[in-house]
Amino acid sequence: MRNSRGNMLLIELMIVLLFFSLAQVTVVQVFAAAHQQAMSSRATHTALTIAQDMAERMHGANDPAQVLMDNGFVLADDTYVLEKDRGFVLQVKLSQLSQPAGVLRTAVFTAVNGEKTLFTFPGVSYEGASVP
Amino acid sequence: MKGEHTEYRVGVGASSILMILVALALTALSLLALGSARNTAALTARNVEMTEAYYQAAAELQQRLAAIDQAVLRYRQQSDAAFDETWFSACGVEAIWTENDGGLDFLLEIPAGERRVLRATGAAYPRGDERCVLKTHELLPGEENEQDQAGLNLMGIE
Repeated sequence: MRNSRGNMLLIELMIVLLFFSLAQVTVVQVFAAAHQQAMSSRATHTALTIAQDMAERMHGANDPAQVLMDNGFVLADDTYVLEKDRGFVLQVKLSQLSQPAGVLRTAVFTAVNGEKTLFTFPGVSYEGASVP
Repeated sequence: MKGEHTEYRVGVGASSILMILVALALTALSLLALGSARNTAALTARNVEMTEAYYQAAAELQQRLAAIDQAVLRYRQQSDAAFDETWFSACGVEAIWTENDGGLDFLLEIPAGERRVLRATGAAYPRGDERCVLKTHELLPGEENEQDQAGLNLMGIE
């Protein structure tokens, strides 16, 4: 009697372990998806914060390129790139349009994560020239 | 009573009940984590959308200011025409103009997404040291947003 009960318990434990393992496979996948999504959101948010910070700093600067270089950006093929171990690459492309009245400076900020573009926006500042 | 002792045994089915409870708890936690991550992602997407819209509007504003400044310079260098709204319209500058002492005040309103408006005011002068002066630069909520905010006044404080 006692031996039969012990066997039943053992069989139940084995079945429980089997189902528990199967359930945990699903649960771990859900946790992994949540973690992945949270990391992606964090990277986008960090990139956006850095890009906004750079846009505002460059808005009042005489030399926007120098501002980028001072903050860790590296010039590669006419594009300033910030690449750190944060899950994104921030690219800034500078251009300027000179006219008799002043200079219109444009910096296009683009953040990419692999093949995916996280966001892109322009930072434009106009500086009027003193013309007699 | 001497020699009696209570024997505790794990009955058949106890481990199943424990497994069900643990599995349910872990499932609930994982779903909460996933829900939280999705909410954070949605919030980040909205933040990105609003930031992009704001900077697009700010860029357009700077371009219009450049156009106004350029039009004033062209007027000073070339024109004998009246310094009024028609001059700027002819130069392709869109703004709302009102006369001030010796110049023109302008108002620029550019949609900045989510019913917000980027509003700037300034003045343009046909002569003098300054051609174009920016006086205010502000991001305003739209009219419907103001109504929404009024609706959140739960305490009824004016």
